[in-house]
This record gives sequence, structure tokens and C-alpha cells, in this order.
Amino acid sequence: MSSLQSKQTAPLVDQQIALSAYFDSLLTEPVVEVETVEPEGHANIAPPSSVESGVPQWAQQPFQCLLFTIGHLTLGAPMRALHGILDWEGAVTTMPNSPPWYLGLMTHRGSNVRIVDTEQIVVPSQYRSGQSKSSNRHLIIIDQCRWGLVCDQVVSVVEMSGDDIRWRTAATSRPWLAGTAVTQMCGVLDVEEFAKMLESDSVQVLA
Amino acid sequence: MGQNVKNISDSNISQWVTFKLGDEAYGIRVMQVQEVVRVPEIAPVPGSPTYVLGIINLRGNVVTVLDIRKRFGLDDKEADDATRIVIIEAQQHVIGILVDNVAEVVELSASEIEIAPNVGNDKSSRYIEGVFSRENDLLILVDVSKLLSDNEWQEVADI
Repeated sequence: MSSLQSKQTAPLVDQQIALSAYFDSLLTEPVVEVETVEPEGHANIAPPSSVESGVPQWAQQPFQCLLFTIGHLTLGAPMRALHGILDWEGAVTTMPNSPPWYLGLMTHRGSNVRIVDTEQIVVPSQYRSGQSKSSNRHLIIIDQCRWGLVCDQVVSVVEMSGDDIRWRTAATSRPWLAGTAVTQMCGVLDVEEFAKMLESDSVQVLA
Repeated sequence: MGQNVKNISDSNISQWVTFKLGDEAYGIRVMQVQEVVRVPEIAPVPGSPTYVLGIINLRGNVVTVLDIRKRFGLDDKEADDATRIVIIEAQQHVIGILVDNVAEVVELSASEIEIAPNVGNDKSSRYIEGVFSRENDLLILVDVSKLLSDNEWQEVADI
């Protein structure tokens, strides 16, 4: 919490720092601290390790993580949950009466992929690039080719283990944000949760 | 085929009149289309619903013209030489829809028509019959009888 407090009091010199503060604030959702009193006679029972208790199943073993950027924000996504990465020139069929975050349909390998303006969902409005339909971007295909997430740049693929990530605990909102990669200082998506959220009626465009 | 692509049915060939609105191509069943006309004077109707552009005189008959752009969430566009009114019969009403241009009549095999995947509580899903994948784009197939709700069809009848 001390680093968060220092960021909150220091002037935000650029958007990268502001976004880091934003993600830090997401990761430090109010967590009710429960004072535990060990019952007599149970002092030798070891508590579960913090990693084992917070780490999702897909990160129990070392995994490859794709790092990509959306505007000024870097995000990671486990490679095993991805079904493709495409160059994208902005070609999409806009469906009538769509919500603003849904850009439309694109055919890919015989499937109609729903293209999502990821920036509207994960980046607060004041930090957006506003280039959702511009050219030279990329699509990250997820969920059996049901969804394509628009991103600006594909940065690299890095090997990670559960210990490399500060996992969110007691996440009551935005369950699609699994945690933060400590070395890369970027948010890591829980792709399955992100797809679940897209399928539901609960997509919220960030103000 | 992905799991989100399902065939509506494997029955016959159907014919569709295609038209453009903005950048996208749409199709409506040829059986629902009575004729396509150039844009005459459209007289606004005071107090009419927002989805009604006005009325036209079609050889002595009054036809209500729907603002399909508004229904589809598109920006307004000035009519030009290519603009047409497609006269359709749906829900026992004859109405017109203003479109940017009318392209052609295409024949589609039912097995090639795919259900358009829903997004959230997408209101459009009720009137999108499906999509057809063409070489360079998708054709969005519209069921005009579902463009309006039952109450709205009644409102149109009362104009």
C-alpha cells in the first residue's frame, strides 16, 4: 500500500504512470482484513501458501504470456487461452444498434468473430488513444474464435510462473483482471473471465 | 466452422434484395419487397414516432416511410441521386424504408446463411435473420417484419 499512497500523492507526470496507478488501484480493491485467532491445539497447521490460494489453475505451471499494448497500457494474456493473433486493418462489418465497445463481425477461418474495442473496456476514457478502427492494429482471437480483441502492438512472449504475478484476491469487480506481472508491471488478463463477461450483459465501458 | 456459426436450415434457395446503409450491405427477402422507388417528397407527420420519417403519396396511396437509419443507430445522411425507398409489405402493412442505394437481387442457399452471434442484450438480434459471407464483406440479412415491435406496428397503422 505504501507505493500506492506515494503514487497518489505524487504528481502524475505522464499517462504511463497514471495507468500504473489505475491498475494498482484495481489490484488493491478494498479487502476486508480479518483478524485471525488461532484456536488452541491447532498451532501446527500451516496456512495455505499465498500463491497456491490465489493462483488460478491455468497458472499452476509455468506458462507463456503474450504482452501487448492498448494505447499507453501494456497487458498480458496467457498464450494457451489464445486462438490466434492477426494483423488487422480495421475491416469489420458493423452490426446495427451495437453497443459502443462492439465494433462488428469479421470472418476468420469460417467463423464470424465478434470484434471488441478492448480499449473501451479496460482503459479509462481519459487515457484512450481513440483509434479503435484505425489501421495497423492487431486482433487477439480468443474463446474458440468467438471474440477478437483489438490491440495496438504485440510486444513479446515471456515465460512466467505463478510467483511472477501479484494475484488479485477477493476480486469483487472486473474478474477479468487476474493480477499484475511484477517484473513487467502490467496487468494480466484472465481470458476465460473476459470472454464470460463479453457473453453476459455485464460489459461496462469505463468512464 | 466455429461454434458460433450455425446453419439456419438446409432447405431451399432464397432471393434477397440488397441495399446499402452507410458502409454496410443489407438484404431483405424479395418476397417482402413490392417495389423500389426514387425519393418523392416525404411529408412529415406531426406527433409521429421518432422512427417514422413521414408519408409519401405512392400512386394515390399513402405510405409511411420508416427511418431505418435511426432504427439501426446510424447517423443521418442527406438523400442523393442513389437514395431509394424500398416499398415492403410486412405484418399486413405496406411501408417504405429509406436506403442509401439498392444494389441487386442475390440468391442465397439456406445452408450458407449463418446466425449472427448475439452481443449482450443486443436489441438488433430480433430483426437480424443472419449473415452471409461474401468475398469482401458480410451481407446482413434483415427480417423487416421484426423491425418494429407489435406496438410500433400498431402505431404505424394509426398514422
